[in-house]
Amino acid sequence: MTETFQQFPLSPGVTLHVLPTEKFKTTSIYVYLHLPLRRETVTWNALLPMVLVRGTASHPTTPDLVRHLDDLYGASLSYDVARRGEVQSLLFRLDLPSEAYLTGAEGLLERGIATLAEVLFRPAMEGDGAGLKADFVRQEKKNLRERIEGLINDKRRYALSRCREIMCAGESYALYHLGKVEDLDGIDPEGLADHWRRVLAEAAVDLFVVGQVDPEAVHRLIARHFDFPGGRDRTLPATTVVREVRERRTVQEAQPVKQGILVVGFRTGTVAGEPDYFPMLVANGVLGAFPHSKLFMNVREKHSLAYYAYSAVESLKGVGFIYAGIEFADYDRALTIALQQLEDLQQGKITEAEMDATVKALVNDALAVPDSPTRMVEEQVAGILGGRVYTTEERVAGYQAVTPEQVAAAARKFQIDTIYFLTREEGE
Amino acid sequence: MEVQHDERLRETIYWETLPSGLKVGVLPRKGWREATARVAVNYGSNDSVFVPPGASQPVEVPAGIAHFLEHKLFESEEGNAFDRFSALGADANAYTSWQQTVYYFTTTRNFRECLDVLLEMVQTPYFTDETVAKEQGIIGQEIRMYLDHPEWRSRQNLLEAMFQRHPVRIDIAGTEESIRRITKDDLYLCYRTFYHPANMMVFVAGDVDPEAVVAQVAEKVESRGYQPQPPIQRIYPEEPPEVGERRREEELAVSQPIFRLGFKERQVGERGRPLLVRELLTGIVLDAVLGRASPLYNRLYEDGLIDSRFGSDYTGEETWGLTTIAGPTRDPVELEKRLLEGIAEARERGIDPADFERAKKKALGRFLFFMNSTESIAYVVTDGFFKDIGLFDILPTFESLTLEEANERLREHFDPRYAVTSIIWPRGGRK
Repeated sequence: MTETFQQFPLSPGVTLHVLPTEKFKTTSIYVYLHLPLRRETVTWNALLPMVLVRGTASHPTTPDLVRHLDDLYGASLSYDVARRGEVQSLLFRLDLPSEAYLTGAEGLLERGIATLAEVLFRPAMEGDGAGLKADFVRQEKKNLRERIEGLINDKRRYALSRCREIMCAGESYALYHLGKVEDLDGIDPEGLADHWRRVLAEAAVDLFVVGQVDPEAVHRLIARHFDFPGGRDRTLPATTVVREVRERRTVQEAQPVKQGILVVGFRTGTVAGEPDYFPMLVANGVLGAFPHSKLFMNVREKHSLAYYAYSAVESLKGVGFIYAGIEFADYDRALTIALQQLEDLQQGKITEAEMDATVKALVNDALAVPDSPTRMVEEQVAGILGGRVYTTEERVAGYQAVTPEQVAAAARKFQIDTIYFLTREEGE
Repeated sequence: MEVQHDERLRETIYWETLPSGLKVGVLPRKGWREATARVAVNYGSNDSVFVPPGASQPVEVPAGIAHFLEHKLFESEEGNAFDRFSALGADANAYTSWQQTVYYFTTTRNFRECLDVLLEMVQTPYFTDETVAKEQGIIGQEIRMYLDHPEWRSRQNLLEAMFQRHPVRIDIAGTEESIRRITKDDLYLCYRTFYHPANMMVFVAGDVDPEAVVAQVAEKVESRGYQPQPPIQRIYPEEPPEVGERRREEELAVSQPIFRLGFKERQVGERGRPLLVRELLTGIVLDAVLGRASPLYNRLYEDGLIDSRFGSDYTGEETWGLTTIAGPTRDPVELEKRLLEGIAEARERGIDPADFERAKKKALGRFLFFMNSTESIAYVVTDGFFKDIGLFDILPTFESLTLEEANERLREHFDPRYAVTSIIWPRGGRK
């Protein structure tokens, strides 16, 4: 019943995963470059895809490249920069309509693969290949600066990010995955070209192709067009897990806002692949992942204090966050009620209905993964980085085997670290 | 049953009209794990003045009531429908737009039971003074959340400035003040007026049997003995074609200005194909004039006035419509000037035939990509339903469009006399 990816090792640290399926009307190609999340390189890594998708050697301006993609029946090229534990993953992605739905489009898949490979390996350069195109670098530095500064525009994300930063100060996990504004002045086209070569040589690479394809044929096409340099160590970066809280912190920051945002950061004490992994996910589910969870039912439904009140865990790093948007004056009440939910969970006050609904919701979520190419690929990536890829069946069985006692035991390892409140400015 | 089949997309939708007037559509998708069902009500935030059934005079209810009703319908005397969906392992939610209220769930199991819950939920209103008071607190926080949301504020300001009287200028959720005035009697009145099966539709997509779905819906709905309902009289104020204000500006705690330029639709009153044609033509014009391959986009991008978050789109409804062109920028005043100049130039010159052909070529690919998501399909089907636009009409209509029509649309719609600018400035950063 599970859709299985076929693996093709291309070279040490570079793996192709292909899923042939007739379910989708498109073929999606994903290239992930996994890099360590580090202070020295975080901004350089974040900038790189922004520059590379602007143009290539044979389509050296953005309009050239966009027109070329349009001619591939509206192929869409996109990128992403994400934090997964202490890994900074760069994603380059191309979506093409499936040839089976077109007439006269033979060879479209190869043209798409060649285009994506060109974005990665043959960027638009200047000075005989010494530097990436200077205009692109200058413009994207400005864009990245505005992106980083723009975090403040989304108050919920900003509050979560600040809580993470304060809680994980000194850990690389605290770094914002798009980097720091102060680094930008030190990046020039030549330096970025050197960095690009290093990334291609050192990143652990996973390529995924999902669609109506013949895996062997895809393997040949990818091998023909994607030529990652060999000879370097491409080990997957590791994440340092902190399980014990040294000192609980309470932080309030003020901005001219109309709603307060409460964030409680905690250490889960459990990461992916460990025996408590499934109980920990169920514990988070009972606490706050769903509309039936304790946080939503109490902070919102019972006490009418918030529109949203949830919790989320990041299982590669072993941290979690409770968050809710509230009235400024309700801070103490909302915090007390939220912490009471965690305490109840830890004491095993879990109703049959809570347990049952949570397991069902997690199972439902797992079962739906094969309906989306992206969700299937993301699940593989999470598994690769976490050291263990679960099949849908393993996931379902994992959730269903969890007992309320295991949930309470996993929850007792949750330790509150940082209580953060984004509040209004005096006199507002 | 009426069968609509699209050979090129290899998809079929089955439609049935039940005696009560309820329309049911089913799109079977073999091999898909997740199924979704939606109940759409032809009732949104715009419908706040109407003649209730049996009455002769129109009434006006507080702003935000359609959205309030959407929240409250999840509750019944026995408890909360969210709990029933949770117990079945389904994911349920709802949303209210200016013209629709939509309730839906997605699930990988217990589809039949979930569909029963959904149909019961929308047919059993239960409002008390206590539950209304509780919801006022929750929705009050929802409204506050949006007050800190710059994109939302920017859009809201644009609508308020553009429309002089049409209720689209009022926030879907209402205001903290208006929702405090909502009573349980208001809710029952709106429910009785708008939640008649003849004013609703059901759409299901997933690995299901269309006959069985239709039979189940019929059983759940027709047994309640609905009496035929005459057409609902909705009263909309006369909206002049002119915009209300040329610009609207606000300061928020943001890192850089957020710019929005809107063009007001003046060809209102259309449904079905003419409305779809207008929508698709506007999309082609926007792509040709402002899309990522256009010279104007690239000049603005290279001059640092826009980045990849810049975008444009068109919303076309029966009684209102607009184009929005928006993005964060370092200099909204300069960006406005350059956009208006660029658009004026394009109106004189017309669209490059090669750009027009490229837009057509990529339409099929983009449509196939969109068909990968059952949820997206369900959204488009329900959104188009009361406008009389079908899922399978979109691609053929697109392919029938001509360059002349696109140029005509460019010249007619993008008239600066009907433009509005909305700017969100950083605190103290106004120029």
